[in-house]
Amino acid sequence: MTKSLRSNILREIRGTWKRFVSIALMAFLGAGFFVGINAASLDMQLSCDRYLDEANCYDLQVLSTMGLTDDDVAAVLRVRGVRDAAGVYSENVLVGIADGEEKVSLLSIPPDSEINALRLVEGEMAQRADECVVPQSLLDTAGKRIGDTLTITETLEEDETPSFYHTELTITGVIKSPLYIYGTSGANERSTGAVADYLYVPQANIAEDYYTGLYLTVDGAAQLDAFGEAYEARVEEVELLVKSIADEREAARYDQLTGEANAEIDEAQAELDEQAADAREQIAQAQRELDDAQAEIDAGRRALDRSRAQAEREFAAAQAEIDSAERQLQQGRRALETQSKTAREQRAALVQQQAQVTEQLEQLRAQREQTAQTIAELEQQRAQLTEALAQMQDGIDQLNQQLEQAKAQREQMIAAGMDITELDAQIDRMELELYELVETQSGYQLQLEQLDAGLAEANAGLAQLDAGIAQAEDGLARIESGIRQIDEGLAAARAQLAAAQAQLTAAKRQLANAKNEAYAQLNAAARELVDGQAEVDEGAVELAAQRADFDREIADAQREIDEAREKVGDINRPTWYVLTRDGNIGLSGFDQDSSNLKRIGFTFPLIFFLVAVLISLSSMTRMVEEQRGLIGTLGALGYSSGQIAAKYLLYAAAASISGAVIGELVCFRVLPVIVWAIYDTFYTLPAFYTPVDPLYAAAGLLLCVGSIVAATAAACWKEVRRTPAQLMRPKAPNPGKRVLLERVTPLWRRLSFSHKVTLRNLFRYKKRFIMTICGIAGCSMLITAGLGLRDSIDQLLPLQYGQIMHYDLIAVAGDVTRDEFSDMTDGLRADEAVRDSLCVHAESVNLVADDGKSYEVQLFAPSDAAQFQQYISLIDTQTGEETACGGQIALTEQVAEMLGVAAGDTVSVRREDGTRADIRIGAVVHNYLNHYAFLSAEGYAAAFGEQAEDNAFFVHTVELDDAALDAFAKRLNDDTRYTTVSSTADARGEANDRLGLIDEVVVILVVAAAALAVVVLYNLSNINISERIRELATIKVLGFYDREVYQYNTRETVILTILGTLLGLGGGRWLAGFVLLTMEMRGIVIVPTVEPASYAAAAVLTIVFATAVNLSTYFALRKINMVEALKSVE
Amino acid sequence: MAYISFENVTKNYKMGEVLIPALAGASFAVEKGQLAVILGASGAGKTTALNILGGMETVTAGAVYVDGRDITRLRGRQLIQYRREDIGFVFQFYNLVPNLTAQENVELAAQICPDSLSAPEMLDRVGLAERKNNFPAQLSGGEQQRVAIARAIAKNPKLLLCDEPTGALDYRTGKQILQLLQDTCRRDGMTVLIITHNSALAPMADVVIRMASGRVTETIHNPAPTPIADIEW
Repeated sequence: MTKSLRSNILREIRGTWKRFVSIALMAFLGAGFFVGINAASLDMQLSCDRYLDEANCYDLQVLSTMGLTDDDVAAVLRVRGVRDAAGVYSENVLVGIADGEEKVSLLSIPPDSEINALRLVEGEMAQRADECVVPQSLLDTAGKRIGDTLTITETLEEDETPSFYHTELTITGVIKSPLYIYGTSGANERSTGAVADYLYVPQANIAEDYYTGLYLTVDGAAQLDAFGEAYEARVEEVELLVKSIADEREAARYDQLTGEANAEIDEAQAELDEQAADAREQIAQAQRELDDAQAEIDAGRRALDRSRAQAEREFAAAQAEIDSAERQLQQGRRALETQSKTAREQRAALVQQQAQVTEQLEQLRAQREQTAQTIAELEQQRAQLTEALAQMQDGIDQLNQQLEQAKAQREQMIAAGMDITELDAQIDRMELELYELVETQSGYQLQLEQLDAGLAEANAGLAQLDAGIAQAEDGLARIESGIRQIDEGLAAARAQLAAAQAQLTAAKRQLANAKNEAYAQLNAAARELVDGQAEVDEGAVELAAQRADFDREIADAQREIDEAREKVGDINRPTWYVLTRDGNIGLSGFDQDSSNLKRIGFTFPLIFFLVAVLISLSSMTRMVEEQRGLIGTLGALGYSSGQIAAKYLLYAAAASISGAVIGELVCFRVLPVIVWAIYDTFYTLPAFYTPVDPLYAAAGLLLCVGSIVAATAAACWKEVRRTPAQLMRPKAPNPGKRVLLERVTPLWRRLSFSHKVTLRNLFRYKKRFIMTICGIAGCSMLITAGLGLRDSIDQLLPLQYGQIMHYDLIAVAGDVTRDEFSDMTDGLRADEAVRDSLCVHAESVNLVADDGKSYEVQLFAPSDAAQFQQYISLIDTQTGEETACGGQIALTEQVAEMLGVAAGDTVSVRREDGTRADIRIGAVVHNYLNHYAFLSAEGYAAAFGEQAEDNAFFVHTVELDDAALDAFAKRLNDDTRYTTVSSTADARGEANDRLGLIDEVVVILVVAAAALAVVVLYNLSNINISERIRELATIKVLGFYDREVYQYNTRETVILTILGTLLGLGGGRWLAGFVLLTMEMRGIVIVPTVEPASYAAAAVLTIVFATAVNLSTYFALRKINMVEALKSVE
Repeated sequence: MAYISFENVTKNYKMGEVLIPALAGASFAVEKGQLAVILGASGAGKTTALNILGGMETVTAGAVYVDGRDITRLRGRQLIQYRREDIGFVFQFYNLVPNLTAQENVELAAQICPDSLSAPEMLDRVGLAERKNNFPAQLSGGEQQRVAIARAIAKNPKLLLCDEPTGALDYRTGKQILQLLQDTCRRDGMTVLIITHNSALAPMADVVIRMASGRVTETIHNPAPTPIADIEW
């Protein structure tokens, strides 16, 4: 390189720094993105590989159906190519956590092997048998700290011995295990059935004498990339060798197991015989003792009977005495009764007499009183009469006096010769009256005499009465004394009798007492005898029962031994399974995720790359064209074509190399870190490395620089080969051309000039036309595809759980009896959270392809196919119609595709026990997540010759909120009869987390695409301006306002942007489909979909970028120097 | 005051550290309707003067009056408006828009001016009525320049500025173009300024301005200009 050339280039770069930067930027984006995304997946794999190497992670794992022994380990170690091997015991156990228990995997730490070395994060390794180490996640879930105690619980089957010496384990440290690199950060916490966490205990705590698994490393495998084909090939070599000793080891294990078992059985038989003899001797001894006791009781009983007879005799004699006394008493009583009867009669007569006399006496007394009263009355009348007589005497005396007076008067009168007549009359009347009075007086006198007679008579009666009374009173007294005499006699007799009676009663009581006492004694003795008998009887029953028990036990024990003998006979040969790292969920998932990223990382950056190269090409072409005069001049001066071209090639190389190198440096570091930040939440790698991969760096650089330089060379070649004279003449401007549209005159005429110019320009600059459209289409394609990927992924779950899976929860029962299952059915139906449920047969089966590949799928065999449709819709991929679960198997589409089968073909179904059946495929059905096969129970029975026993439930719950659903699922999960309980909400969440990864990667792509869009558009618009600067200067001179110039220039770009965007939207849809097709995620079918909103977003984004860039040209256009632009012709 | 008055105009270009004087106090005047020819060797500053007059270049010092207005004071949009309405420009290399036909090129200019002239008429006047639908690439150099002139005068400008209009043309064609310009001036009364390094053209002008080293060395008023047809060079 001459000095002038060098300075020429440097000056050129300084003068056209914008162009230089834009080419560099293109190279930056193209190369950087290309290597960056690729590096992301490479770095992930590298970091993982380093970790696995560092941890001495296993390459192959051997599992056996019957455990593995130290002999097996030794045998595997002898296999050529095996570097190291270690046996590990593992089992799922329950550990106590804050709110209950959680199922975790427990693994043993092999004492003297470095395989699958644990990485100690904190604390110390577990050394003692009662210590353990756990991952941080378990520590968090359990709410424990180092030093705390963790309790593990084993689910033990009947007559199974515990597998661990200690179940109270002290946590000594926090570790990471290479076997569990896949997320403990919540991603698989939800996954029901799968075990989320793990813990390690020293082998010393394991009580079992076998290992469940054997891990081995392969010579030279660690040096290979764990995700590369060389590794796979190397491991496969050894895998075959390990498999080749499987037969022998299986046989050895079989012999060991059966030998051990037979020895154990013989020992048991001997022990049983000995124990039976002992027991028989004991029973005989007991019988003897029992017989002695019986004899004793019988003797006692006889003695008692004798005593009783004696007592009874004595009592009879006493009774006889009493009876005779009683009879005497009875006679006395009867005599007394007769006696007292007479006395009573006498007494009654006396009493009657007494009454009569008393009555007489009373009558007499009443008569006497009456008489006395009559006397009193008579005396009163006499008194009255006497008085009246006296009064009358007085009257008569008076009258006589008056009469003598009157007669004396008369005489005087006569004497006096007076009339005496009147006095005569008066004397007459007085004489009459006197007469009457004397008459009455005589009457009274008579009466008085009568009265006096009556009175005398009455007094005589009275005296008579008084005599009668006295007589009667005397009689009465006699009677009363008679009565008293009788009474006294009776009382004396009665007293005598009572005394006799009392005597008798006493005698009787005495006898009774004596009797009671005697009988009490006798009874007590009898009771004792009865008790004794009861005891003996009880003893006899007990002995009989014991004898029965003994017989049964002996029989049971014998049967057990016989069964055990039979079982030993039934023991199947153990089977070895040799698995690669693909068998580990974490490792295979990591492989899959990083490979997916690689696929995305290839497709997207490739488009990026192409766009970048295209744009650089047009930039350089423009540059060469701009300088054709100069090229001509140099040619004329005698420079060779190569020398002239060197400038441009070097310019392009300088720009692209600087851009690409910076881009690679940045992207090698930055992109993997961003991508890893997303994946880091799912995988627990101890370190993430971001080395610059020289191969990729060189490839990216070469590809990028090479294509840009080649494009430049092509552009130069076109110009350089022309003669200098041609070059120095102004390049004939592109001839104006009529476009097709002009033939449509009426339309064309309506267009304004600027529109016409726009349209003609569009077709005149074909290269630019294509470039712009490609550039813009590329950008909008990337954005559309990115958003489309998101859309496609986002709709996966609604599709799966909206159209296919309708159940809310599935619960699979463990190994339960039919009765238990029907209990569970009833329990579930009665649960308030359950709206309805359906019992089905669920089973994990392998579908085997013709080439021997097999795919594990979940088989559902419902007995009620019609009901089943309520829970899962089988939609035929061919007809799009819903089909019922029938006698022919229905497969989900992805597994059908992997197997390469279609409806009407036959598929070989292998069950876990190894039995196979070829079943005709009835339909291939839509499904988006996981693989399933559906077969009616009849179909199952027909295929396998065995009933499809219900062992799982599909459940529709009532309306429940998340917490309630969780609680319900937990309730079932806590029931040990269920092995797997999975709600669709959980499954959704889990899938969502996983898919979210891709989602976030897509965001990076969209951002990158947006960056590309801006750079591309800016570049294109700059080229456009520089290419047409004369034309633009001309119209500026003509007096177009800035705005008009802007529109004149931009209109084309707008049209191209719209065309490009439309093209890109379609292309994006295609690209999304293509990427999804290449992505091939195991168990996930993603239907490419781009939502209208995403199209709109992609279009709007592209147009916004384009408009922003266009606006920036406004200022570029304003700055065009008309004079400069028009001065010279180039 | 004259219709066009260039008063003591200075224009310096700064190229990095170097200051290049293009005009160093040039003054001249042209009356309305006159045809002026500016003569001078390369680098004499005649193109700079024309560009300043055409509103494409600003002055460092001095004043330029066109129809009584100092155009050195115009800024931005005013300046564009001045170019748009008052100026018609004819370049040495025509600068037609390649993908517009002859007529469309004329219309391109005409459509933006308030009292523009009819495009077909203009083309007719420059003798290209029959070629109006041809694209520039289909026209000869002379024809293209005639289209350029038609485009310039279609705007009905106050000034028609021509920068070496015949520079890329052969003698005969050049003569035709000059004839067209002289006719335009005479017949339409348009003020026309023509830059040329060909002194032989001086007699055709009303005013001949000679420039050297950024200054006007001589201004000759020619009361009886010679028709172009009579001038030989």
